[in-house]
Amino acid sequence: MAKIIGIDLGTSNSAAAVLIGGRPTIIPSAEGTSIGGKAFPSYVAYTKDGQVLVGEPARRQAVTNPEGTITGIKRKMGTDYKVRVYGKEYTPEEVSAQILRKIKQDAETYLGEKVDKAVITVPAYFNDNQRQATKDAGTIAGLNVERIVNEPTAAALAYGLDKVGDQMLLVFDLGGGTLDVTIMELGEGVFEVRSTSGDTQLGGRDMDERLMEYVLEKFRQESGIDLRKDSMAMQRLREAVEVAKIELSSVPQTNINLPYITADASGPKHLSVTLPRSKLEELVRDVVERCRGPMVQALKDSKLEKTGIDKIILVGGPTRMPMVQDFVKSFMGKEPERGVDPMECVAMGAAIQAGVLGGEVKDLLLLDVTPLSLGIETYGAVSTRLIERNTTIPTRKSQVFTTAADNQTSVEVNVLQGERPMAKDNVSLGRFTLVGIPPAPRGIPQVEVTFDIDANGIIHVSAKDLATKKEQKITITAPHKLNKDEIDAKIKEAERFSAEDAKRKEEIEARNQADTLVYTSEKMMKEAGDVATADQKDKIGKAISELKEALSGTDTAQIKSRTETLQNAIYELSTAMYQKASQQQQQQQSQQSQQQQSQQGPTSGPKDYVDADYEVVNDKR
Amino acid sequence: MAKENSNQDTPGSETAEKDLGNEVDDLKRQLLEAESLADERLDQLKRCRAELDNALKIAAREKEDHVRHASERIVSRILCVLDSLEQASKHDEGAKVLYQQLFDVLKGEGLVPIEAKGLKFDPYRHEALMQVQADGIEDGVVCDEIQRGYLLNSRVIRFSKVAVAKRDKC
Repeated sequence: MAKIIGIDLGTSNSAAAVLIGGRPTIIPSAEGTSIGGKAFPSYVAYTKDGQVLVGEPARRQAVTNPEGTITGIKRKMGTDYKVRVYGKEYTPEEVSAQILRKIKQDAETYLGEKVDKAVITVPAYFNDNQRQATKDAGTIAGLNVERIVNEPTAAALAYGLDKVGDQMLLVFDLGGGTLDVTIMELGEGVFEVRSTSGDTQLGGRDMDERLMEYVLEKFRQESGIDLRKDSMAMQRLREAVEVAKIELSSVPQTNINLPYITADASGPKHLSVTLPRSKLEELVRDVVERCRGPMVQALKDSKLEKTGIDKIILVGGPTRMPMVQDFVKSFMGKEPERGVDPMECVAMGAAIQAGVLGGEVKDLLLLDVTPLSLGIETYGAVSTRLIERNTTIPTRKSQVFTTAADNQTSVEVNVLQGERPMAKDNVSLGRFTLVGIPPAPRGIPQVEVTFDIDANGIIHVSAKDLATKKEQKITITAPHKLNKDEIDAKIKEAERFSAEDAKRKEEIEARNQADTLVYTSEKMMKEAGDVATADQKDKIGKAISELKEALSGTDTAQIKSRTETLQNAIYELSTAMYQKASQQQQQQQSQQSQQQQSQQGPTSGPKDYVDADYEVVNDKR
Repeated sequence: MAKENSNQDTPGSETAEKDLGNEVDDLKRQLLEAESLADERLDQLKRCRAELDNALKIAAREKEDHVRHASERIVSRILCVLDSLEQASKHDEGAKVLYQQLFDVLKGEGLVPIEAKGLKFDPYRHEALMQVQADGIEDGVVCDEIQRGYLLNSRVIRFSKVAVAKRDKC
């Protein structure tokens, strides 16, 4: 079944999105992205030679073709207005259809399939005429408009607020040239508009103008030249100012550098202005203040107090500015929702609505992720992860482990949740013991541990001895239902302790390596028999006892250096052993490779053996 | 079962038969429900697989694209330095050599200047900053290049900023 796309048909910018794998994804514009992101300017141009240009190309030729270039057509939707271009008349529907047709083509290129259905968003205050006109524009573009959705509703959907329960929402949508404030009530999954207010002549463009004026004035004071008369310089400046404004949302200071901006009798002139964020904020303060009126009005019309609003959503590029965010926050006395790009959230919400209509979003298909990593405790109290956090469930993963001691007949599986490398810093979800492993030297038994998380988040952990096929399992039904804040705190904690944890993990690894080496060395000594000279035996014996002594202490550097000493002594012996007989050599080789494997760190493949051995439960050393 | 029942023609068995009939109907209905649920689930499973397949295709395509255009970001940021060196080279021989060196490096990465002056204005390569009255130049032709544009591996990374000729209405 063909996909339904979601379209944010905006006054100054438009964008489209589609659900891919249940996740809204912005459809990239065919001619690449612009500074504002993946949205493109809502420009349509009819050229003298009969071409139709849409988006960036239309904007780029606007200067050469002012009579054929149309922008802001959304303001005329649902009216009798007609655009006259080179003797032909176009309705607002026809012009909007050009934008929608481009989106349809981009979507088809991106998805590699035909697209003929769409959900289109409109402002909450659009009347029936305007909505019908939008629908007609879709039809002209060859799109079957499955539904017209209010922009604030789409924004709320993008934030997943429809699932939170009954609440009152305020959507603050500040675009390039318009402000829309909408208060909506969400009850039983249905959004109902309580009030709308706004200003059709207020937006990011006003802010650009203020900034332009400031830079122009500053340049005039310094050079005595007024750039206003120089249309070329003005255009370069306009772009630089827009870039600077966007940059100032993330950095406290920026520069506008335009070399050779103009020239006078004394030679070329360069423009260089340093712009701190505080200056920008001072310049646009009154523009931001103008947002206050519509906010007050919307609250008044909805007969609500500020405290009656549960959630605030910010939409539109200018709401990326820290100053605008602070304004809304201090006015409402509440932190706005975060996490979705304000320029993309309307298109994304439209895509989610489209997914619902297309039957893609069903409870069964709403996939969840594991909020924290899951693993088991292994030798040295290390937490070995099997399933990384943010893995989409249902999922399943197996890994083969082995024993830590000779003749170990049981292993304990301690199921852990958390990001820290040491077991004790993570949460234990449950533990069980697999018994009846046939006695064998350490490293020989193969115990396969499998984690299986079903769609409901229930974790099934099983351990199976591959030799006897004996199996033991545990089911964890409520794996510590943490809320978002708790999960964030856990992740932050892991970040905070990462250096410390890494050090401890290194210590443990050094100990494990030393321990394995002592074991294999002792075994080798026994097997070497006559091959080893008394001198070699003495040397190795001494190195072993020294390393054992170091292991009883906590000096990691000492453990490491003595491990190296023993390793060198062992290499001498193994070299001698290889020189012995060819048959013996082969035997030794297989053992040697085993030893080496057990000396390396954990390997990642599920089929590989891992040196992270079990904690020993009831072995008799 | 049905045969067995038909042999015993007692009133008691009639109710039993009725009960059995009800049970059969019930089971039939349950079977139908289960079958339709199974169909629905199978359909969803197929969709999931198709979706995954498509998402992987898109991801692979995007990755290929990213690799191909990996240098795009850094090259486009260096362009302003190239501009400055080009301007400086008009006054300074050393700067001229530096400009040539940097240009050759970027050329090796696939950088090609966009031709503009004297060509017909092309909104897919040029950006018009202004229109000028120009005698002797055809209408809609680029008469001045204000800032050079560049292609990187045949994709525009900066549009030529140009002035376009406009002939007076005769």
